[in-house]
Amino acid sequence: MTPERWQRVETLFEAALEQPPEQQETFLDRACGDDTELRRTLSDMLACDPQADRDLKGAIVGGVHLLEDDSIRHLGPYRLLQRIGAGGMGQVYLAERADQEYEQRVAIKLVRAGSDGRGILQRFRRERQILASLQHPNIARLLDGGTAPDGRPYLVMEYIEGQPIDRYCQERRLGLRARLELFQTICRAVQHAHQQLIVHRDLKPGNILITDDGTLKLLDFGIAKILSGGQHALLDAGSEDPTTAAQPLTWSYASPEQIQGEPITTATDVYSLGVVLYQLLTGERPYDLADVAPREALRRLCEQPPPAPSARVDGDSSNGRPGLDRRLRGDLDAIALTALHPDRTRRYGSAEQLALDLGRYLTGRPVIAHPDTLAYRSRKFLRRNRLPVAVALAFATLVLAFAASRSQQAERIARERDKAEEVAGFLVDLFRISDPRNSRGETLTVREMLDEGAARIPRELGDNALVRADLMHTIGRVYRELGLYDRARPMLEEALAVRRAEHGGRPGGEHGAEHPEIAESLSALGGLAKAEGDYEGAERQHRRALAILERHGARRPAHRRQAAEVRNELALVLRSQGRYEEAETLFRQALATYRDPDTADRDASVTTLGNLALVLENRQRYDEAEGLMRQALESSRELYGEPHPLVATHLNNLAFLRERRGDYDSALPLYRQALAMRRQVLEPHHPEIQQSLNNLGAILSRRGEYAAAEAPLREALELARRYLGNDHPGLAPLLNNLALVLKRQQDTRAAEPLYREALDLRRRHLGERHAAYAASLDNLASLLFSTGDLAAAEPLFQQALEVRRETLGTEHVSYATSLSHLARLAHRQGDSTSAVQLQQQALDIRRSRLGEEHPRVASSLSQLAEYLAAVGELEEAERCFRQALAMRRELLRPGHPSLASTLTGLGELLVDRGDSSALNEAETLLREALDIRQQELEPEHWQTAVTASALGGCLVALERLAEAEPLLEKSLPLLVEAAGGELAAERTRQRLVLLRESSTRGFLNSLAR
Amino acid sequence: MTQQQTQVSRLLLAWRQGEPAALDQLIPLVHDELRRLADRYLRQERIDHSFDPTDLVHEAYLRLVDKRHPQWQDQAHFYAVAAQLMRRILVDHARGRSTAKRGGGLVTLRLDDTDEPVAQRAEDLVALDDALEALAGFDREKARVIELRYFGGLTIDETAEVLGLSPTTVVKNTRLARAWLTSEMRRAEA
Repeated sequence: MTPERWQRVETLFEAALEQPPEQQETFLDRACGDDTELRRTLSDMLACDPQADRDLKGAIVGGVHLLEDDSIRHLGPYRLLQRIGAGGMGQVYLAERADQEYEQRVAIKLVRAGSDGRGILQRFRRERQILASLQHPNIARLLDGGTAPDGRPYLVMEYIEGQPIDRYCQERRLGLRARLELFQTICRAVQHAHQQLIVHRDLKPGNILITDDGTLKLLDFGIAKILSGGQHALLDAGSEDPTTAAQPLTWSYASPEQIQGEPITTATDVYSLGVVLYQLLTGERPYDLADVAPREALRRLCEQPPPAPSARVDGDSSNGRPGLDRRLRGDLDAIALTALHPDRTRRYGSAEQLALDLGRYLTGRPVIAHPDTLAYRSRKFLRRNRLPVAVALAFATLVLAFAASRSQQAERIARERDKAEEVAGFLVDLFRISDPRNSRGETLTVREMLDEGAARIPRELGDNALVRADLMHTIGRVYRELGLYDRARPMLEEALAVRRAEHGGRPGGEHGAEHPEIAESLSALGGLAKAEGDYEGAERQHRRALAILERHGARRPAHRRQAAEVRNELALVLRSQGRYEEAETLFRQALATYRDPDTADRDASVTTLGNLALVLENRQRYDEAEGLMRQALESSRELYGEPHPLVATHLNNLAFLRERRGDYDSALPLYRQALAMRRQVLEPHHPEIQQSLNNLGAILSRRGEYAAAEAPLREALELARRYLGNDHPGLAPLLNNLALVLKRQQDTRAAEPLYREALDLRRRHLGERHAAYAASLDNLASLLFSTGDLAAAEPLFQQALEVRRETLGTEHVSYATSLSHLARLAHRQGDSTSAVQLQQQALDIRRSRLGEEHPRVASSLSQLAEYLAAVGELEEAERCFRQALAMRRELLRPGHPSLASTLTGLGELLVDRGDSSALNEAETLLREALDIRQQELEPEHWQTAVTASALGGCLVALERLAEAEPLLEKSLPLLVEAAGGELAAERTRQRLVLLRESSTRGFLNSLAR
Repeated sequence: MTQQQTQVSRLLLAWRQGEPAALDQLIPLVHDELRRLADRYLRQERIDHSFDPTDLVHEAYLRLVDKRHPQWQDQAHFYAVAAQLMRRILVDHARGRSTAKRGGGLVTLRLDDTDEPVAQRAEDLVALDDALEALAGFDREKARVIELRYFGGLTIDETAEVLGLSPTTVVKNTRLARAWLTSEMRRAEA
């Protein structure tokens, strides 16, 4: 460029800018004449002008980023290669593992400084296990996490090189079908995560990539929760007020409830999926909020449904997809708007349902979302039918089994054949009335169907009493399965009465009472009694049934099988009563029958095998139990495939066994799988879902994740109250678990009434000589103990110990629990010598029953060490502390609260030892302990103060008085006020005295100099 | 008042009064300070956003210039030197990176919380530097305008003061130069 030519460019550029935009081209044509290069330079410059400022700044900022990036080259074992993204939460880098031969490329999200780093790490630790269990070919995995040298947390994720789905569809000009199929893949992956209870929270095309080989990958699953903790990302950009946070653009994929800060559920992801679907269909987002004031944008999102997709592409042929509006109108409009409904209860119930409805559209079947009734009525329809569909299957199975056994017998007796046909006819009628066309256009639920059937039995089958009894029996059992005990009882009792009357001539007649059908009725009533919590009644009925069948057994295989069934049921009752040995014998007898070629029954044998494994666990034969349970699980998988309720049961039970052995890490994912499978195949309020929720909550609680445990436990209790009522011993474990979690979160006031309710239920239903009653006593006593009410706690601890001695013997782990609790009590009462003895006993039992490597052995060791220290056995105490610490580090998740107790104990001991290497080690240990406590507990918690005070003492000993003083000063008032803080408060006072002395001495020394 | 501050202030005055040798002495002082500040930002005092080069320039000024007799013109002239040095620091680094790194322009559409793509390629800054160099070849003044405003963060008035132009001219020059620069950068990219 010559200066002269440049002069000309300058003049023309400025002149062109003065032209109205639409005349600029003409102006240039005229001004440049034949000089095409000049013409091109100017038109390029005019084209660049609007973004030129941004582009220059962008290039410079890019240079700054490069400088920054190169100041961090390594994060843990990862070598950073290149920055590949950035946003409100930080930067994303491409990296590779530096310590490996082969190259593993990962994406690292380095969280922005100034954000809630500690919270993020804590949530990461909490979530990592869950997220690590999330394995799906369409979900990118979270691999690792850590802290950068400057303190910023980072997350390591599978690196995916690909294109966001919207751009991918656009560039390849994918057709409607291809887009929908891709979208279904997304839904299925999301569904998979939802089944593990993981919500994405931030679904958007930028998080949905298609790789070069066409694989779809969802990124950042669960990351939003870690980064923003409960709160959604939009509110986290430094502002509490969504109307001032970020630009409206970033709201585009968030659901109304997310923006309003309401709880986030799987429905939140369904909404975001709706936005993505909308975008794939129309190329645009549902709401155009670019130039809308934030508050107004919020209002629209929450109140106004977006325009139908077909209306967005109407008359728009520039998209290169002619006729698109016509194809979207109707079903696809309805599907997208159902997913996007502002009211989350009117959206699809799951990502899977959304995928299924698209599947219906793609295969030409009618979709559930339909424009005229739209979401609301379809949801209503689904909700009404969900329970029936699941139960109708169960009912149909029962009826078929019933019909099958009938037809066998009918081959022999003509009278029976008539009976079978009559029953069949009746059932057909019953199913016919459930056909919508015959019942005022409404579909009957199975419940209604049963009620209808129960009402019609006397009317239509009045002249055949045995048929009537069969049906009443069947319907009674279905009622029982549904938890409708009040309706079940009259049906089963009347069936029994009719059978007695028909078979024996008159009720109670000696000969007639021997008929196997009567045994069947008795056993069904036994099952009902157990379901209602009446174990004695249940045992009585089952034993009567068994007596009848045993007299028949020798003659017919069918009766032997029936007897095995009753044995299994009876054994379950005995197990609930704590009579494990008797239960084991019965289970083994039943199992032998099911395995005998004459009476073989694979389904029943698998179930019984699982039951046997459970009772072996009760008898503390853990290895045997585990072996049998795995066998049961494998067999059930072979028999039924997945998902299936029985497979879920065995998964759950295997997890239970692992949990009892202290292997919480391997139990947790199994429980989650079981819950997910149950939610998938059972109706939402099913008792087994309650059981799964309870188990999940309990294991989280055992892992010390109390806050996470609370929600599933509450849900479980709520469900149980719904179908058990409020006076059922089955509520007790649920009450206990929830109470424990509340107690651990320091909410003793909420925990106490729950423990008392459980104790009362057990006393009334199980009596005072029952191991479960003892457990309740122990729970309540521990709670009272923790509130400092030692006088009230002591007799309860003693009583629990007595009952356990009587019912379980002195070698049982629960007996050890009682001993350990009494030890703690003695220590608190100042009698540490007794405490040492009691704890030593507990430790011995635990070691022999649980093995060397068990969290409870570690707990005994750690406490024993504490008491040993109190009686001056310092060397022995140190040894026990160190052993406990090593075990806890090995067995517990990092950051487990119990780890902090041992660290603190050992730290204090080392401070007392006083030599300089001990002091240095003590400081490290105590700082680690304090870190854990500050993360796990509320800031003012007295246990945090115990550790802070110990650290203060350590610093006094190290003559770092200025550091020590605030720690001690802050701790003292907290300890004085806390129940259980007396000893620590006293020690803190002593430390403060030492501190004052030291500082006076220092002052005097300085004067002397 | 450090010795360094006295020295820098003296050199600035000398340079403003037409003593070109003063600039030669000024440059290493300012360069070192900027580099030091940048390192400090990068290593420890990372705040919640990328550092802004113009903030560094400002901080270097506060550290290096005697403020007992603050001279508005001193600040402008100091910024002028600093802008040039800032440019050099960033560009030198980017040039090192663009040749040393494998793969060159890996374009990855891995976006994060916002939909703003990241200008992460060393090439952009190198292309800008090349274009600025070219521009300086036939219009030194406009290249300086860009350098002062974009690398030094000088306001229109400060730029006008340093270069002895009217503010209106600065505005016009900025727009012209940056349109040409970006069109050049795009051409280089293509």
